[in-house]
Amino acid sequence: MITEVDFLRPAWLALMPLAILPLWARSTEAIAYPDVGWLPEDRLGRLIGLALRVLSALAIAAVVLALAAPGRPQSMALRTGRGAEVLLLIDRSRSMDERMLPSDWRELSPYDIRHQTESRGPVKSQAARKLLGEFVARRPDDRFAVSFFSASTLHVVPFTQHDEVVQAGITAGGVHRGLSETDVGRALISSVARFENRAYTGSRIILLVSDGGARLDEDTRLAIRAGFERQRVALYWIYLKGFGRPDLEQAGEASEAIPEVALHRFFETLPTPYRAYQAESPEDLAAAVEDVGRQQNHPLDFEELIPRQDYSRHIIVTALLLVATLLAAGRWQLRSLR
Amino acid sequence: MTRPRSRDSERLLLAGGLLVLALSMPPLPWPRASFDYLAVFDITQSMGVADYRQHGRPLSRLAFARHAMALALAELPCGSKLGLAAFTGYRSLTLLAPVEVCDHYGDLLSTLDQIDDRMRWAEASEVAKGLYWALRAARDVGGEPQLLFFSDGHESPPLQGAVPAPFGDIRPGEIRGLVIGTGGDVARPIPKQDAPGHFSGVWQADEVIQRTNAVQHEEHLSALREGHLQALAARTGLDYVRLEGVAGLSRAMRSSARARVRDVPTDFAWVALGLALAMLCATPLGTLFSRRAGTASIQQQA
Repeated sequence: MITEVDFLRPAWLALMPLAILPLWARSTEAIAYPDVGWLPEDRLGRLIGLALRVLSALAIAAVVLALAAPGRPQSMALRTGRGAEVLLLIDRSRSMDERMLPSDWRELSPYDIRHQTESRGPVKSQAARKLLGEFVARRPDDRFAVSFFSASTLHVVPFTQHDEVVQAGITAGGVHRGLSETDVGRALISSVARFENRAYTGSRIILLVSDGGARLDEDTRLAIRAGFERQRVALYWIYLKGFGRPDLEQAGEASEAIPEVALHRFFETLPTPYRAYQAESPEDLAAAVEDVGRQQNHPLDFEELIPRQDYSRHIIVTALLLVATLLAAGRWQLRSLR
Repeated sequence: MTRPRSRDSERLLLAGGLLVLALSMPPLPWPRASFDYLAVFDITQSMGVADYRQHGRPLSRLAFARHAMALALAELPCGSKLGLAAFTGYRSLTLLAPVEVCDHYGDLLSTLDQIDDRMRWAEASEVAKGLYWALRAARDVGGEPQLLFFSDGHESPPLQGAVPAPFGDIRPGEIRGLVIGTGGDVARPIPKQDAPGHFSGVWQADEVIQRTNAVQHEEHLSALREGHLQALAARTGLDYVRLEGVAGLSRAMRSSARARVRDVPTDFAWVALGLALAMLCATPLGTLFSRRAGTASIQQQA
């Protein structure tokens, strides 16, 4: 394996010539003595002296190196873990600013529910954002991408491992009210295309969070079906059912006219796995998010970002050992001189 | 004879102590200047006019603004934060809440890269309202970033009367930042897009809403409307700069007046290391200099 080395503060390397100082001091010394012939030869002493000079040269070199902070640059390594590639496709239409049933709705009288929902139920988009944020935080092995949709699709965060960026995308979805229109068909087509040109690594999911349906035309249906089949993407729809909004499981031919039901029935014909979660209250929503988390735990090959590893500490320890050796040698020399 | 030697070993001991200090020292909080921004990009059709050049090739206003932002981003000190938003229709929409620029440099670049025509959710270009919404976004996104608003100032439909007044909840000067005039002085035709990404010719004079009282009908052409943007900036307490080169934007963004001083954990081990280096070099340097002076030569031989 080739190990690359980079420096955080390479400019300090310019001080490296200082390392020859101890050696140079020796040679200057030699010049100061034109005639040493009258001295008895002390080869051992000279060798020890040379060794000590080399050691101090090394110590200087090590400190200069530590100043330059060498390290192994950030790299990628292939790992197999459990998890999925999840694209969060979040509705940013105005209706997402409406409220859901309050937590204690079962205790309310049927006459009160509407009023209570409208006055103190949690706002759909807020509740969804909070839970999605927690979901992302709990799943460090997953790759997440964040996209919003209204009349257009806004791909905000491409697939990333960086939790903070995903959270920032989810947070941004809560700044101010939503936009007026929605085009879920176009959003799905362009979202499924986000998986194109990515290595197929295990499980791919589009987690659609929206509160409305749509009757899609035949071309759009074909494009969606083809996209899901080609990219092998599973679809999970968290349907934030507002108060008095239609139930997805309504039977009968007539309910085909209801956009939500029509969309649900179309999704059921997709060749890839599909699940719908109807969430009427924050508890339903939490249960749905929990369930999505359980569904997708297939082995996933992914590239893990290995942060830069700094070698400075090792080098400082080396320098410290050299200094300690020099100190010990100095003491030993002094003692032997006495 | 033992004096210089003992001084040598004192220095060595000191160097060793400094090395231990360098090893054990935790990063200390140290005040450093950083910059927090929410960058809002006008993604209306007039931003598709290619009146910038890069490497001799024409580049659209939006592409150049993104390019300049990407380079300026690399020059922001670590600890700075950047959030991203887009403007079209009558409002700005926050896309990414501010995140730290060094840790998330790659992610910021890839999000920045995606701010283009395909995001456009509405076709009008009400720049004044877009700016007011952008001010709200900077105020409400959290972390109190300053605003960077990239636009050519091209209002469509054209303003038929006075510039709309800022929203009641916006106090001039509450949010600081820059309006960045993007575009050239010569009015050019605007590339026409049927659907995002699908170009078909340019907008003609009879296809856009013209000013009712104007002598010449020129709303289908677009130049940088600097006067309009400057007036908007003045009205909302922002500063105005014109996007001419990459360096200019980066400099304006790093002006000390926009800095936020915060304590950033800073590694000071290099100070201890530098002193240790000085200690280690002092002995051989001392030898050299004393040799030059011609003294103490015999002592060393012992």
